[in-house]
Amino acid sequence: MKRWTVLTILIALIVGLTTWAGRKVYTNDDPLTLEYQEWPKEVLQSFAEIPVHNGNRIKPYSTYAKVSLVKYHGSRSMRFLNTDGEKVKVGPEAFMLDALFRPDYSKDQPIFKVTNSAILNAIGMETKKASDYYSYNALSDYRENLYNKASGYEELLKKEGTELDITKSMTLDLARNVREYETLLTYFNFARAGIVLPRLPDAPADSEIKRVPTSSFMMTVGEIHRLIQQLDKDGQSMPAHLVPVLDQLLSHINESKFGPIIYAPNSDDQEWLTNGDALMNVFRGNDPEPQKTIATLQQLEKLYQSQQDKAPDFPMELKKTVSLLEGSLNAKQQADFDREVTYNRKSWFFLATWLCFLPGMIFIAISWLSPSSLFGKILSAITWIFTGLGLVLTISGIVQRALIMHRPPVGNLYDTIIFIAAGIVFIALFTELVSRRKLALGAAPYIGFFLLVLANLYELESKADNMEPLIAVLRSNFWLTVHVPVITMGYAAGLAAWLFGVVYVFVRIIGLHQDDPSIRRVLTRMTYGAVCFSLLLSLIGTVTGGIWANDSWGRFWGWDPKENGALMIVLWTLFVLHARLGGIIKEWGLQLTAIITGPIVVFSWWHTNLLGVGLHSYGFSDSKKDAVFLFYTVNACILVAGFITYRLQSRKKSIRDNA
Amino acid sequence: MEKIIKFLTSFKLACVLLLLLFLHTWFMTLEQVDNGLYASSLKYFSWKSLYVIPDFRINGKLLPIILPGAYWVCVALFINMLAGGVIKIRKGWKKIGVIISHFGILLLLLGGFITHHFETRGNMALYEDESSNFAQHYHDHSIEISLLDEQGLAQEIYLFNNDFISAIKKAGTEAVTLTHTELPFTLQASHYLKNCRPRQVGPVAAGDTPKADGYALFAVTDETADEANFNGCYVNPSVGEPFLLFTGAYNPHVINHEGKNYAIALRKSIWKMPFTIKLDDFNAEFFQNGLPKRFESYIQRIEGTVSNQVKIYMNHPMRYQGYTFFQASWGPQGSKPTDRLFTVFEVVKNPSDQWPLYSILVTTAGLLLHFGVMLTSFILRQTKQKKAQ
Repeated sequence: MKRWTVLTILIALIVGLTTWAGRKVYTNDDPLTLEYQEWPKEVLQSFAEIPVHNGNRIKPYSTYAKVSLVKYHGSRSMRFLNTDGEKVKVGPEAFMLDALFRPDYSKDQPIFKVTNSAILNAIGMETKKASDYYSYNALSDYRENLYNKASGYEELLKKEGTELDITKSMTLDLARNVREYETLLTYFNFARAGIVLPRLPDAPADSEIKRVPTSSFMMTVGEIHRLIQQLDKDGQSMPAHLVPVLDQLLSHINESKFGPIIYAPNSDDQEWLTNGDALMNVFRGNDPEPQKTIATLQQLEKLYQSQQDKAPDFPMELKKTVSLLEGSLNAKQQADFDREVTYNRKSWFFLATWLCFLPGMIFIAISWLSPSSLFGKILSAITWIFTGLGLVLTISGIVQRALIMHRPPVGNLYDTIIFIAAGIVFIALFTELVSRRKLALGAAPYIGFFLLVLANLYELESKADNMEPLIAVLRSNFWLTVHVPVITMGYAAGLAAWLFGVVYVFVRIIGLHQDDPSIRRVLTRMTYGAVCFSLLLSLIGTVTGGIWANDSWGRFWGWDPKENGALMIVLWTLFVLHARLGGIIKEWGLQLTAIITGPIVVFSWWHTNLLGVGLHSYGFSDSKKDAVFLFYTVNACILVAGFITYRLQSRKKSIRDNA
Repeated sequence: MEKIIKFLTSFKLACVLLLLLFLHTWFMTLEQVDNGLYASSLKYFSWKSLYVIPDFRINGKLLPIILPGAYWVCVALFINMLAGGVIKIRKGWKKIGVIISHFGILLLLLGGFITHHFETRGNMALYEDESSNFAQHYHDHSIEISLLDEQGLAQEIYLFNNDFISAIKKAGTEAVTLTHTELPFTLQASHYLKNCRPRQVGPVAAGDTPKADGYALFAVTDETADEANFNGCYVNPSVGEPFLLFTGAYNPHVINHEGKNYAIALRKSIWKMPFTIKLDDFNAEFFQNGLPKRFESYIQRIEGTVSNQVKIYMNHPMRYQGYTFFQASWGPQGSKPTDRLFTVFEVVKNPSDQWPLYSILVTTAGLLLHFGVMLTSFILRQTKQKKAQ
């Protein structure tokens, strides 16, 4: 009976966790039907390999497209039905290709997710649902209203100390997203429209109007610029026939000024440029190698034209464009770039979550029906394999990220989640290796799955690249390199202690210890070990952080909330260990105090960022605040449940002893 | 006596002290949100705080919690650890790791005490080709009186340092007389305000200091970052009219006495260095979006006729003669990479500067030894038990 109870609870947990994991997937009960032709796989793959400069680093287009789509759509893919009624899933690369090459398709797609319909109502748009997806065409009639509101809010923001409420900041975000998306739509206008040459003053009225590619016009533009400067110097005005030509050029420049930055500089001290900036440089004569820029421009025109003509050589032109743009990277940049392309393709964390930890969760849950039978042993062995593989994949992903970023594996909140996921699964598997009671093994895939899903949701919520380079103070220091991973492992060990404490309470409430009394002793040793490990790592992590701070800011300790959080873990684990050694707490006391370690770790890890003070105040939003308080509340409930169980079982034992 | 020793060396005392420090740290972290870091750390961790009442409210209602001051809890923990964790503890190979790690933590606490009482810190800002032999304190203030020559340059400087400022603060509305043997006049200072602004006195607004030349200082809410406060006070000199001193004033107040001009100003205290720093070159490298990527200062450290070239950059300070110079910042705020920039060094003198490093090496060795011994004996015991089964 107890085994069935365990199985039921674990299955409920699996269902709960997978439902939670899938909540960000597009769930429109009334999907749009759109005309759509899917991009060939080889086109998507080649397109992913175009280098683009964004967020202070060079990254593949796949990363850039992914961040853009997440920002607009809240998810890494967009779903609708095609005219044949089939489901279509548009990924980041396809979304970006549509916006650049097939704006008419793109404008109808449900790109923009608006979670608060009041924003749209305020700009005069009628809505059906509180949260829904909207196409650019659906929003375009209200675009001016949206921009007017947003510019008002931007003015407000400039005033010192002004903070926008959630509706205003969402309005501002939507306006910025729409504006940014528009830069994609118009990016290829230079190739689409070219330059229409006017009739010369002495040409016959019926002579043909000539349209030339922008790149051809750019070959002569230097001369035109010099001519204009000379005329200006001589006090003469520009010839009238040049005015409309230059207007067209300026229009192309403005339309591609703020889009993807794809033109690599000729030397390290120059910046990467957008198409618009590159055109402007050639026009003004500021480009030391205008022929190179024009050659790129020509290739982009060819690429665009081959797509418009639906020519079979579009994939070939795309490959040529990729090699032309990649050719500007030096060997080191190319190596990092290739690594990131591979990293994006492999989806290490996705594979670890769904193909390793999830099966591990299911196998270990079933094995609980008969753990000592051959069937149970085989399932446990399979769980070992899957969980171990999940750990290897997670570590591989972390290592890849560190190699791409040229920095230690932990540099932002996203990094901490995946690092802690690997850390806690490692600790659990190590504990299992020592204890061999399937308790730690049972917990490992669940916590691994939970944390990797949390990382995924955090990435979607943060709408950021999470691989951006570090600012000056966070670069190049030995103690920092030691401090961050060690303190993060300290968090992992603290959470492992919390997890074992929760498992202990769970075991005692169900009464599993009655079948096997040694289970209590083993769990207590596991918890004790995790608390010791947490103390060791948190202490070393805290003090090495202090030594780094002493090198960076001249102070070992600055009472920054994040520092204090780490100190709180140290002080709490010291308290637990001394109370245990002094006999003040025993088995139950150790487990319940270990459960308190969980909220303390979460306070240090997440809550200190929420306070909005200190050096580590980054990456927080209201939804995360709610999640943190939910965690506190759940733990308070577990503690109360544990305490009641302790009192009841102690009373039973004393009655039994007296009898 | 035995009871006292037993109490001082007990686990129970250790647990209570650790729990108290945990609570101090937690309350102090939460209080930073409203009261700022400097004020909160002073409230909880200053040796002057014998007890603290955390500003912990639920639904706006202050909870009645009183804790002993954290400094004194640390003192008690030091004694408890020394007596219980180093002297009284049973000696043996199983405990050697614990003793070593206790020793490391004692060193850390001792370093903390020394830092708390003896550390001095300030900052020095320099443009390229500028040199300086003084830094400015972050929190300490002083009243500076300069005897000016005919060109308006300072011939002699007379200082009333932070101790005088503390005395003025303590005296409140009572006047404190500032005298200097070489000055032909005295100053009576009072009404010291931590954060204030000078405004014209009107029929409604009287100000928080007496009126001087139609103006008074008006107290404003303290900034959470102490460095952002503008201090001020009211001064009544033995010669001339009363005046106001204000750290935000562009110009000092000038008294003319017996044909000599004296400029009087309230400002952050000056801290003289035993050597001069000259900034030869400052390089700042930025990411494309303007965030700092790297910044480094090439300086000359000049002592008499001897000059040494040193590079100071992020995470790589210059340590010399007990002074440490850190690449802390640059300015002016909001400047573009092409603008003329100045470098800002944080200057620290801390006798226990490197103690945390020594401490962590000792503690880590102790803990690794202890937990290693425990883990090995646990695994051996398990293997033995399995073999026995």
